[in-house]
Amino acid sequence: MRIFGMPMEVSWYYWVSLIVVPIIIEIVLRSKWWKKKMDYYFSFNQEQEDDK
Amino acid sequence: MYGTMQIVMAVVYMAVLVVVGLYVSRKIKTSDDYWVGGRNVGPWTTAISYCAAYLSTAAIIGSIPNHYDFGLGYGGFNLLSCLIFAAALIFFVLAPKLRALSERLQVVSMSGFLSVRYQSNRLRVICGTLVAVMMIPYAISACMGIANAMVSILGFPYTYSVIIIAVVAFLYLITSGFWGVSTTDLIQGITISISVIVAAAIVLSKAGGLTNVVTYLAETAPQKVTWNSGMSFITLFSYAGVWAFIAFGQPQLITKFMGLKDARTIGTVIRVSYVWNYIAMICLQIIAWSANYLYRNATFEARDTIAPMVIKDYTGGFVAGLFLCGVLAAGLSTVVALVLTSASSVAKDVYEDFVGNVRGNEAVDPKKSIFISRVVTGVVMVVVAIGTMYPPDFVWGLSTMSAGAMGAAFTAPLILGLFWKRATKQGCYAAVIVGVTTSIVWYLTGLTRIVHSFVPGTVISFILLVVVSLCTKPVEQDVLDVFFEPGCSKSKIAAVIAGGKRN
Repeated sequence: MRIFGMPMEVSWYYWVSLIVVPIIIEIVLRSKWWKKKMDYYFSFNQEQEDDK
Repeated sequence: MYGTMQIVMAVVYMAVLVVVGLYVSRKIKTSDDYWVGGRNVGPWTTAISYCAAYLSTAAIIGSIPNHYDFGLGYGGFNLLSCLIFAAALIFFVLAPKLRALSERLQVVSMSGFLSVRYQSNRLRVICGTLVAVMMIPYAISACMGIANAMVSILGFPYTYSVIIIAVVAFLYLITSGFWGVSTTDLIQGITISISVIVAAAIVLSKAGGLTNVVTYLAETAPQKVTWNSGMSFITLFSYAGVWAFIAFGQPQLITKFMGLKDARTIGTVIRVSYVWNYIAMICLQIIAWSANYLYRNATFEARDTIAPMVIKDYTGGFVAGLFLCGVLAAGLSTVVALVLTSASSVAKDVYEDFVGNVRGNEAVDPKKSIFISRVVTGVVMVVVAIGTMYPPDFVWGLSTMSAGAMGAAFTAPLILGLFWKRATKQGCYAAVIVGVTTSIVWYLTGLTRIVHSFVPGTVISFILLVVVSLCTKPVEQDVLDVFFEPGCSKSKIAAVIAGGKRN
């Protein structure tokens, strides 16, 4: 099958980067793991009890 | 040669950059404001600033001939690897922790970070000097790219073109530093995307559409529509994929993470960076494939002229002016990022931190520090301008070598320093010194025809860092706590920062 005249052996690069990779990125960014990771690194610069 | 419309467009564009830079300069109160925008740069600005610095003139003017020669397999591999690694994974892996630690440790450069992580003030000077030296040929080659585009599109003499570029970059860089660079990069990024989208749409329509162009390539040059464009995997990786990995060790890109206002907005940075890079890279590839059809796969001796020529021959005067602004935008954003990084290595790492550490922090006056930062930035810009006016024959090769050497020097110490507790000072010294040496020797002996010099330098750097670290005394727990534990007292952090100023 050819899309825009491209054979599959080439067109997959473009479809994967257009559809598959963004979906994976979105799944990771919306995951609890990522939110937890962000909160974890945010806490690096929160004031500690013994600093108050 | 084009008429006055293109000259007016280019002049107006450069005037906007200078005015914005001068406006932003009012925010500069401390040297942190100058070097990392007071860590107050928003996610959209960070993303586009990163992308604009990543996609330089070399990418606009230099990548089109490669896509023209090698076709879709090369282009697809290049697109996928750059998007996965340089537009997404680099933010997932490095940005959150580096942003958090740079604020905690009050560091504004890669050299500064490495010196504190590995508790060595000498490392600050070695890395700072290395960055300062390596950035200059890189900046010269980017500057040459813009000057050549001005010569071919506007018909300006080369010397005048260089002077104009240097004065514009100097004016907004010296007044507003990182903030000016980031703010103007937003304008530059938008200009690049509009210019390549419009140019690609017009050139593609002249070539009869994408299906027509690809069908033509499949009939006349079938290797261009195979998955590897007729190359071995190693060659394909060396040409198309290696630039995705080099980004991990480039100080001018990594510093962008340190200026981000809030680490929790990294998701937005990733989304914007991905979409922007996808659009820009696809459009450049479409321009190149359309040129294949329009010029019937002709061979060009001066390969760098393909992009300006196809724009000149097949689009109107306004689009040519817009495209020139895009080239100016891509080149200037890269030049200023490189000059700023080079100057920060001298002013911040060598003068402010190293001298301040030796004579005591009270010896460092913030106002004097900003003044020195501006003077050093100006001096580096002058050196780059002179180098561009009288370029040595080997400047293009030198810039490729510099990018590879910097990547080889910093990728392993940065990644392992962030995520591996056992990484030690001795391991870092070995990795930086041997990584750079291997990369340069590989380049000079002509082995780059096998694989890019970044690859052997980086592989050896990783191996040495691991082996030497395992053979030397582990880093003290108190130091590691600052890098690996969220809960850390100010006194402990201050002690570790002080440790990075000794030894």
